[in-house]
Amino acid sequence: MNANCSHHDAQGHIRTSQPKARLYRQGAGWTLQVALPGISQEQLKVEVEGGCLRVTAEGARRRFERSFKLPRAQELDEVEASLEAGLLTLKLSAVSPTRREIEVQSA
Amino acid sequence: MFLLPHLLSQLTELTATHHNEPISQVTENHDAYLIHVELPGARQETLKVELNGDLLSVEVSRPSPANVEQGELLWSELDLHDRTLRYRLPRGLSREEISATLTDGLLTLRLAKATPARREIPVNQAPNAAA
Repeated sequence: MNANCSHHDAQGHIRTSQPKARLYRQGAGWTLQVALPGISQEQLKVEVEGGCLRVTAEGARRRFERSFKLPRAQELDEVEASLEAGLLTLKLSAVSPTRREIEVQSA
Repeated sequence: MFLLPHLLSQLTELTATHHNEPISQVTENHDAYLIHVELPGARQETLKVELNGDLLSVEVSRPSPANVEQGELLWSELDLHDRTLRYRLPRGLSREEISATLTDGLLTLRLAKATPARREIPVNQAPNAAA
């Protein structure tokens, strides 16, 4: 059960809530899906700063905000975001590790 | 004119509540009740809204994401499976004026309040009983 029955606080301001999410991994990358019902593209903001990915959305009835700590941020190549039917899908692809050949010394 | 607040509590969800139950909220304005149901990922073709007597049901079928190459699920707070929501409607609603709108994964059901019909009752003159 939701502890907060209303999306508004005592003063009538819209509460900011954390949207629910789920995470997939495929190969060297990840897919993060965030549920933002009622949110359209213009109301959504996705930012990456430091090792954090922040999702902020402000709709007519709901306000969402959540930050996700990125796994091994230094290896992130790019973030691809798409929003459909209130579901945000973020594809995080990792840079392929550079190949390095080790020279074998003969004793 | 607002209906009495207790009518709102009659608009109860009959489905069992589990952890990730779609969130719905009922609001009221002067001429209708609005049920807002959060269904992220739901699309029009996968929704069926039906009124049977005083039972309003919403069937959502949300197939697994089209991009099956999602890979391995690591963790999830989302339960985006098929489900049916049911609401028993209280009296005082117009059964004809019910609408359903889906936008950005938010379903809004609008239940118009019934305007009481006015009807004039004719007064008949009965013959005098003492005759």
